[in-house]
Order: sequence, then structure tokens, then C-alpha cells
Amino acid sequence: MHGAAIPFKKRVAKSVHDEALHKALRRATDRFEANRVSMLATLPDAEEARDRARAIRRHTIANLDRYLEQFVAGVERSGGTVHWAAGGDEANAIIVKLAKERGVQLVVKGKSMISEETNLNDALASAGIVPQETDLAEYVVQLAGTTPSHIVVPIVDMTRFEVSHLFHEKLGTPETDDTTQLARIARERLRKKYIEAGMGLTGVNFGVAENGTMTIVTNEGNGRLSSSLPRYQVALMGIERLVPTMEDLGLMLQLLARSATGQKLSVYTSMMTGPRREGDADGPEELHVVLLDNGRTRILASEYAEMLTCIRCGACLNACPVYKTIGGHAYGGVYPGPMGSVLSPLFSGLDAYSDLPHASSLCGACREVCPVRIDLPGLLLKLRRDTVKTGHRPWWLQLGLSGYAMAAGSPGLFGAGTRIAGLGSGLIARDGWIHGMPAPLNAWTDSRDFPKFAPRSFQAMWKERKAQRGEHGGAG
Amino acid sequence: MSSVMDRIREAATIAAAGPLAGDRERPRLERVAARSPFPLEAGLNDYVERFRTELEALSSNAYGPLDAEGAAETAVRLIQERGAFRVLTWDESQIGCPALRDRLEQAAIEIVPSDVPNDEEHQAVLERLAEIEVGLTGATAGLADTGSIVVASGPGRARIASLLPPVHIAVLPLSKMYPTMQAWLAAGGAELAKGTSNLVVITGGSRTSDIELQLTLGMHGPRELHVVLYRD
Repeated sequence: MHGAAIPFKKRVAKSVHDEALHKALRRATDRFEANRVSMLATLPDAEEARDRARAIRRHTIANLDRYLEQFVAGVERSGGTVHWAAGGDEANAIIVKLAKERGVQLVVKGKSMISEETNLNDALASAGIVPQETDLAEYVVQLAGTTPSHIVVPIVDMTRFEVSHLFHEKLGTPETDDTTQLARIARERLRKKYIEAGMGLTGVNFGVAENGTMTIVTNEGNGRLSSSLPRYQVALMGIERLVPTMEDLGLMLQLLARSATGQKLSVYTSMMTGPRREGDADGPEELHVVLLDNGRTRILASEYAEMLTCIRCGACLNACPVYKTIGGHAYGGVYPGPMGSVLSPLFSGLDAYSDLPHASSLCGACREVCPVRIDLPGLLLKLRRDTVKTGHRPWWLQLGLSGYAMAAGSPGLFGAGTRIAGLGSGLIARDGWIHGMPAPLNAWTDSRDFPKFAPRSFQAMWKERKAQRGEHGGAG
Repeated sequence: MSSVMDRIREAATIAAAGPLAGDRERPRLERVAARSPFPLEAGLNDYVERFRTELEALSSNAYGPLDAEGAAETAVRLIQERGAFRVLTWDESQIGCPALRDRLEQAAIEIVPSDVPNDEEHQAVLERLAEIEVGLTGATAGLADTGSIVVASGPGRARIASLLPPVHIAVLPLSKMYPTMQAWLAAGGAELAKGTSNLVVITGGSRTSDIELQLTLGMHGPRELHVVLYRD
């Protein structure tokens, strides 16, 4: 489903010269970034709030066993049922079984990245149960048979014309350039699905340990409808998504919406504590929480434990110059951008994702914007070290380093090399930058520019300087 | 479960001795929660004005504060202006605003109860209730800083009344206006969440910007939100 089967270089090659993609990405990420900054400024002390959010999340993860026990007790006390899943397949099997036992044929889904992580839709479909995405962007992604390219705005890379064309082809609706009309087409169809569906499935933004409360945040209302209309509700939740108290939740919510979309608060923040209670006017009669590990315990026991404090806001995507150039699909996994470059190899292993830790300029913008101040560049560096240790050193690095070692070991060869490079690069450079080089050096310039070599090398200048001052003249 | 918890306990111990060293204890930072975006001397009037400003910035509306009669009249007028003859609503005892029921009856607006059974009737009832143009509810709290209302489900308080109709009108007593979410949580909101299966903080009308960042209101939930404030 996701693109790790295609080599990273190939995935990047598609997007790196796509001007329309760059324009769309830049428009979205610039807007989100500007809104994030101006909305953080409405907090009495945003920096202090971030410090506290970081401390709370680190404290939660350092005590994850204790808070999970508390959370599970709260869910069960309020009438919910807890299931544990070690991996994605196990989580899917639990959900399929719940649906089958209850005669469910249609499952409506709120927007959830974790169900992308387990590939739930395929599991449901192969069991003969129809999975229905209901977030507008996820609906488009499902119709198109693609994957999300951003964790907050999954079709950031698509134009209205592409969506219109897709709807025309798949739904038979007339072509339109009116985004409101496109949204209405989706609303009408999905409203019917909400009413027909036997089961609603959502992710969880935060679980609150002291209450067993689960929070889902959406702007469209897909989380509310999925969790309120169908008779059976399932929440699929990563084991790390907890905060200790409701007060902590209040703080995290302030930072989540600001960091994600630059809103003070998302439109709907649902706080769910158990299924419908005795006498309640409506709501699901059963609530099931599937707690998914899928590698998280392994991460917890590693030097990457800090990554579990991530609240999936997407701010690091919007700030990342690499993300803005290659787009979400190039990352191959469920989670793109800097957080994905850390998470994908940790979840799925370096074999599939050894290129991702290198897909960063380590500029530090991600760490600057992260609401819980995760040291993403630091984690990426550690992962780079691991790629080398485990024999996943990228071939270009190997080639480059051995070439450099050979040349640097011989001043004559080094000097000759820099003279040739200086001459050669002068011929192919424009505006001081080299935009293309012959193989095998095109491995760099196909996706990046390289600065033109200086017309005269340091070695040459040093010799001249020495000659001017006399062979034995002074200390320099 | 025990084996899973054992593994997590072991891993957490390793993390607490390594990369998360020093994080085992609950952080004793200054209580950010106590910090307010309002000046110390701010009072109810300031909260109401901020609430109105924030709501309007979200293409929604606040009315009042009015007396209970005036609030009921305003709610009825909003329903009539939309050409609706019926409302999906809560039990009279749960809405709060006492004059509302009489006003609705005087205006010959049909009151549709919003209970949804979890049996073979489930789908048919939802289909019928989804046709109704206007939802009318009370609210548990108003949060001035964000222009939000808190709506709690329960007996006589259906979730769908604030969710299915394209227009949502909520009546909110002034005594339930809080400066921030944190203030409301501290004043009983956290406890209320424990006792309520579904509590939702609503901040404006349902919206999407998924396609080319173009805003559309009323994606899945109500496109219009009207909050009528009354003195209690």
C-alpha cells in the first residue's frame, strides 16, 4: 500500500521537479506556519506552555505502564471494553472480528493516521466489510486509491480540478471548479453512509488516564459523527497517546490546534468516556478501545523513547525545507516529514527506510516548531549512525568517502582533482550553482544543486601566498 | 494483558533510566493552567465581548445577553427566518431557558424529540431526524477565549441535536460563561467529563479547507452556529 517498495531515489525523482507540487506545498505550509506563529502569540506565554507540554508528555511516557493501567481502568469503569494488539495485523483482526460478530457490513471512519499504519481498510475489505473514509481528504484519497501526503491535510498536493475529475469518474458528478460544490457532493454521499453504518471507527488524539476519557479533534465533524451515530464504536489508539489529567489535556489541546492548523481550537473536540449510558438519548451501545503497540514498546526501551512524545500535529512537516521540496509521498511511509523520517525506520526497520534519516538537511526548523520540543535533528543523527552500523550506509556516501580518502591521501591527486573540478564546474554552472552533473555525480544534482567550485583552489592560493612572502618568510 | 503490561513496564523503566531520566516525577513547573489570556481585572462583560468577537471570526453569531424571554424570542425568530417549522431538540427540562417551550408552541414550531433507539429502528429513526433543518440545544459552558460552547450528552440531551441539522442554535446562561477551557475544567468540567459519555467543545460551524485550502462551512456538521446568551 505504502511506497517503501519503490526506492527512495525514484520516489523523490518524481516530486523534486514537480513545480505544481512545490507551489501547492508552499502555499499550504506557508499558511499553516504563519497561522501557527500568530496563534501561539495569543497564549499568555507560549514558550512556557511548550515547556510544560514537553514535561507532561515526557513524564507520561516515562510512566507509561502506570498511566495505561489507570486509563484502562477508567475505560472499563465507564462501560468500555479494552483490547490489546501487539501489531497492526492483530489490531485489524480484532476489529474485523468485532464487526463480523455484530453483523456489521459498513464501517464509517473518522480521520485516523493509525488505521493507515495498520492498513485497516484492506483488512476490512478482504473480510467483506466495506471501510468508508469520511474526512473529505481521506474520502478523496480512498476514491483515488492513493495514500495521504500530509498527516493533517492529506490531499495538500491535489488541485480542485483533480478532485472534480476524480468525482466525475468515480461518482458520475458533473465537473466543477467550485470547492464548496465538491464538498457538498461528498457531504451528501457520506451522510447516507453515517446513517447506514453499523460501526464507527476513529483514532484517538489523547486518552486521559485519570478518567478513561478519549478525545478526538476534527474540524469537519467526521470524528463526532463516526463516534455518535453507529451502534458500535471502535477507537484505535497507540499506547503512547496519553496525558495524565484533564487539566493536562486542556494544555495539550491549546497547543495541538495552534501547531497543526493555526487555530485556537479545532471546531469539534469530543471527549468520550464510555458508551451510551443508562437513559442517554443517543450514542453507541458499545465502545471498544483497541490499544496498539506495533513497535512502540520497542521504541520506549530504546534511545529513541523521546519520539513517543509526538502529538502528530504536523508542524514539523510545514517547517521542513525537504518536505516542501519532495512532498509526503516521497517518504514512502504513513508518516512523512521529519517525524516520519524518525518514525518509519523505528516502526518498520532500517531495511525499508534507510534513506529517510538522510532526507534532512539537519537545519533544525523541525525542532524549533515542535510543540513538545522533540530533538528531531538529534534523533535523525542517531538513526544515521545506526544505518552505518548496520551496514545500510548509502552507496553515495560510501563512494564519496572512499574517493575522498584516496584523493586526500595524495596532495598531488587532490590538487589535480580540485583544478579539474574548478575548470569543469565553471563550464556547467549557472548563477554560481551547478544544476546537473554527469553520472555518477548526478546522484546529487538530480535532486539538489551543488555550489560551483572556486576558480582557484585553497592549495593554489596557499602556494602563491607562500611564494609572495618568500619560501621561509615569517609565520604567516 | 499482564504480559503486555510487563513488557511496557520493563521498557518504561529502561526509558526512565536513560533518555527520559528525570521525567519519572510529575513536573513541578509553574501552573500554566492558571495563566489567563485576560487581564486580572477582567469580568463577565469582557468575557462576553471576547466570546462574541471569537464566534464572529468563525462566521458564527452570538446574541444578547438578553433576559430569558428575549432569548426565547430570538431563538424562535432565528428558526422562522430559516423557514423551518420544526426543531430537533432536547427535553424541555434540559435546555434551561424556561420561556422557550411556550414561545415555540406559540409560533407553532413542532418540537421533535431526538432520542435514537439502539435496536432495529436505529437507522430509520436517524433517517427521519436527519431531515430536520434546525437543532436547538442548551449548553453546559461557554469558553470566552476561544468562542466555544461545551455541550454534554445525557438523558434528554441527544448528541445529534447539535450535529445532524445544518443549523444549530444553542441557548447559554451567562452564569456558565468561563474565560478559558482551563478555567472551566478546573471549575468542574474535568469531573463532568467523567460522568458524561460524550462531551463536545464546539468552536464555530463545521468546516473544511481540504481542497486547495478553500474554506467550506457545513462539511459534515451544522454550517451555522448561533449562540443566544441569557441572564439567569
